[in-house]
Amino acid sequence: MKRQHPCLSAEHLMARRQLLGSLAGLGVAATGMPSLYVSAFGQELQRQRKQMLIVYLDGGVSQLESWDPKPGTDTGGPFLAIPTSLPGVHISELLPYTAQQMHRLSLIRSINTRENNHARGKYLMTRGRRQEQTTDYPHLGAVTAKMLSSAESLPGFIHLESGRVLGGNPSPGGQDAAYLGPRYASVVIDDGRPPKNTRRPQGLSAQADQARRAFRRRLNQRFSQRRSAATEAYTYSFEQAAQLMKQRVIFDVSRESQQDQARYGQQGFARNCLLARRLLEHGITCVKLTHSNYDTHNENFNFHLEQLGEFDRPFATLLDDLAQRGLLEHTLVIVMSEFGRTPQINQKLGRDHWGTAWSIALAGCGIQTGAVIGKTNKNGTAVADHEVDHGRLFHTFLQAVGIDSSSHFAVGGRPIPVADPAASPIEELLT
Amino acid sequence: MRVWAKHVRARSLKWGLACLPVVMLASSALADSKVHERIDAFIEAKLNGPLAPPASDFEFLRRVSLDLTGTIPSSAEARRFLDDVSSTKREELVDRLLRSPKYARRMQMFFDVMLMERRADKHVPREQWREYLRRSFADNKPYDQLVREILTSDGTEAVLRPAAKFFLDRNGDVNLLTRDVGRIFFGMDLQCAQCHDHPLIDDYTQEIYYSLNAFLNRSYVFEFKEFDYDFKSGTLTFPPGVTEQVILVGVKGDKLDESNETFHVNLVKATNAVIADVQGIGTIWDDDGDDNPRPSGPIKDEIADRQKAGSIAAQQMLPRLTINDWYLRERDGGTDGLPFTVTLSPASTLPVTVEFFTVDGTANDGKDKLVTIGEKAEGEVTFESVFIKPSEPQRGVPRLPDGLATDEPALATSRKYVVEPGPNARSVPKFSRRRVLADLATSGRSKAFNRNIVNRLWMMMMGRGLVHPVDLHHAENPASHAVLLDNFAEEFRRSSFDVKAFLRELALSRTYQRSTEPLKLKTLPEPAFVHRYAVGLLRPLSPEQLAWSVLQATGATAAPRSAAEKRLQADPKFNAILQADEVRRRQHTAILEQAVYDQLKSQMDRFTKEFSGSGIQEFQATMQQALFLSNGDSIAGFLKPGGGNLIERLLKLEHPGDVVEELYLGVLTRRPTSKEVQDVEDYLISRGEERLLALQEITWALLTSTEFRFNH
Repeated sequence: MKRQHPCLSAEHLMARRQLLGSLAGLGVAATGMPSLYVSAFGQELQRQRKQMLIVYLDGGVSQLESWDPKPGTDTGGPFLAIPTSLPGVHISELLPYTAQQMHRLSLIRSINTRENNHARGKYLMTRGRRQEQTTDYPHLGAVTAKMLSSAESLPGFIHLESGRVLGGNPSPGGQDAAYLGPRYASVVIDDGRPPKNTRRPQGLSAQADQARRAFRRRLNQRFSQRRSAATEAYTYSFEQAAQLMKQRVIFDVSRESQQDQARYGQQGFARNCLLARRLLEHGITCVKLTHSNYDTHNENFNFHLEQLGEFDRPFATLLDDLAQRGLLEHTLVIVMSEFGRTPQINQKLGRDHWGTAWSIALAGCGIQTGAVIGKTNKNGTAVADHEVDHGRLFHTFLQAVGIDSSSHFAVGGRPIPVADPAASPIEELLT
Repeated sequence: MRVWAKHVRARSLKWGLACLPVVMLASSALADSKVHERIDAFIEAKLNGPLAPPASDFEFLRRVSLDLTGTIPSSAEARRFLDDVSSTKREELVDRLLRSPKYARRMQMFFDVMLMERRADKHVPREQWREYLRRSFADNKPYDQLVREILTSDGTEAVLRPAAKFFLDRNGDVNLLTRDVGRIFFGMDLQCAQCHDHPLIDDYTQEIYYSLNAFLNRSYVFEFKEFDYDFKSGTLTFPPGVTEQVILVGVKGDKLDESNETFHVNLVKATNAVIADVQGIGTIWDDDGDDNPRPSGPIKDEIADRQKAGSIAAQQMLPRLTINDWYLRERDGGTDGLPFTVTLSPASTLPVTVEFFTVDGTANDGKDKLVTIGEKAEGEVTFESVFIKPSEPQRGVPRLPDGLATDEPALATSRKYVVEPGPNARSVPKFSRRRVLADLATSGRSKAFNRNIVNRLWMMMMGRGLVHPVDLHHAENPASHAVLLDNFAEEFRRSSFDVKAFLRELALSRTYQRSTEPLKLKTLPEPAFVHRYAVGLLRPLSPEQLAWSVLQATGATAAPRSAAEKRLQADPKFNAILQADEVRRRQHTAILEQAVYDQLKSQMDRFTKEFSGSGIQEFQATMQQALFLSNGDSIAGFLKPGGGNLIERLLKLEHPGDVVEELYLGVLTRRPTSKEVQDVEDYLISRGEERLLALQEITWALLTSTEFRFNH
């Protein structure tokens, strides 16, 4: 029985490679960077190259202190709601800068995932399905990297972390691509440093590295009569590694202008926002930006004030920059958590885990601007209208970047649906 | 007939043709020939074109060392073999490798991955499990016995407890176990058939899934849930003048209706006092359900103890320590402390200490209570398809995928158990379905079971299963050589499931020894060509093979080996024993191998973490791995000279020709071509003074070459 490999059809890959190849000949950089003169090819390229930015607020951001405030109710807490650049839509006063960017965003306020556990909640929101013993499903970022990356040497899925991360991070990157293979797994960037092992070791000069690689290549030449898909993959991995080493500068956020670095700020998350912009500009297919920690079982209000204070301005700046630079129209931006927080305020002035009625925000590629899907009841204790779950959200994310969410991967001869077949996209949200 | 057969074969080989007429297979003469000759007969019967020649000596040496011992040979071993002119050296090599302790180690690693698939540890530490496997293969335990142990061990008995890892560390998840038993022992991935008949594979019906499931669903993971009190131990100190100390033992309350339970606090080893009363009895007064009688209060100490202690004390003028009995109402939770008062009488002018610890009575502390496997005597599985709704769900009747079943005895309800289930009781049924599963599978009558193991061992040596993928045996996925597979499944059973013997035959076959050098063909071969074994298959090293080969090649094994050697030579016990040379020698090599393994296994784990794939595809060539090899500190560390390793040895060699030969023999298990000699010499000259760096760079290139990374 022929084993089919999980990959796009060969014809599709060949066509894209040829397209990029010919573009290189024309001198248009295939990185999605905006240029004054964009040829027809360039437009085609930009239209084709969809990207994704996942802003992950780790620990469970309170929807009542962000996207779905209920001031003046028994659950509302002390903060007010403020008007936004979207008439009729109010969000928490803790997000003043984001409020000014609301016209670029859409909200889903009626999420019910029925899951209050960090690890499980994280899993279902990022994989679109509940965790199963027998099958591991790939992360949204890995799926996106697989479906949307051209055959480039840079990794398709990069994860920028800052702060302490909670709940079931199996290992830093490398494991979240499941059956798609480690090629599409996240490469974790810790604190703005380049990926592991991309720097030449101490005492190995550039020439020495060149010399030893050349020797290695000659050795492989002699052996090259014997070849298989596996040997090809092995040789290629060294080319990829060399590429990444050469391009490690794209992870260096200090290369951005002083002005931009000041606009964003020096603190961890802010710097990562600028780095995210840089990576997206350099054509990285999916960037995941994690901000921690929102798990406010005590002192919910103080901590959210602090955390969202860190989040608000850099995020708004990033969103605006992406729009100004023409990246937003082909980049899907998702702001999500593993769940929301309880309307009931506990004894420690905290809010606990709440998967029953919460919100996420979306912007960019494939998403209607200014839409608000669903609503919760007066004090946020239940969804009142248009309940959706993680399955529907996952479908929506994929469709927004042009991936057919009803398609299948062929894994070892078995078709595995890209998204949960029991769910469907939220059509009203898609353009 | 046999002479003619040999003659034809010899002539065929000479011309690179193998066109044995099919009719020869039917000849009874073949039935007498060795297993490996029969393998070749079956394979060559399906080949009607050019064949690759036999692998060269160095190719064969490297290949069979990797396959049978999980690592490449040393340069000394390579030299010896390559320079040996004996015509039987290949067979002798195979036997030498199979006798080595590294064989058991290799099988340990191979079967560890096959059976546990790199799962994280849960209830059985991986080192115990690995040692169990190694020991099994060192003893050449028959495969059927190994599987029986793995499927039936309940974890209560120390020697076989590691075998229970298969069940325990899958958390007793019945569906996961059904799938994995199906895949690993029968070669059938029935996962999709859990909810409905397999959409693509007709043979994998829901009924088959639940028939297997029915053997397993009565078994469960058993943990002591109710701990009655907290284990406590320590030392009490009485400063001078103090006559009373209290030991507070935490008691866990619950809502279970139980009888009163007791535990003890023992006093031992007093200084400056004598223990008159060694034990205090604590009673947990159960307050759930029916009222239990109040415990009878402080129980009188044993008179005899006191008298004895009294006389000692009187002789030695030491004060006496006593401990009272007490009781405590259980309540429902939290840990009220049950106080034990230890009294010193009379007070002492010297500090007095006494050690104490708690001991289970009828109450238990849950400490060291191992997680084990229990089994019920009842419980049926029913199923219905999520697609088709029959009017009544069907019952899963315990039956192997190939139909083997057995009658179940009808036992009276009162006689179903050896140990009845209970809140803290691990039930043991009189009739165990799990044991029946093990017995039927290993009975020799299960064709699926026999075929599966033969297929997996074939894949281990040849690079591809006769049925491929190895967990997808079914009618639409026939074996490339169905008669061969059936034949040798039967042969394996008849040999009493002797793994070592079968691997030996595989290693001696022409099929195994064929070169991987591609044929120069005028036309492209048909796609099924690769399944015919006309050419040997290129295969990537497993993460373990890669790790140990790197360690061997760079000579990281040298230092722990010589350290162990020194220890052994200095050990009077070892040298004093007068034993037959053979036994002594075996012990010697086994001890050295174990020492090297223990010292370096953390390095192996490092490699397996970087290089193991996920799930279906073990081999992945990722950029991160390339970065690890290029810039990581592992390889760089092995290339620092020291401990008698490769770089240190190379630095000592003056003549560049010697350097190149030692390097290539040690890393690539072959002699360099003259061009390669030139290449290395040029490189060394170009780097001039920086000889060390140059050697490290060249060695790196060899270690990361495709030739090293693959088994060819």
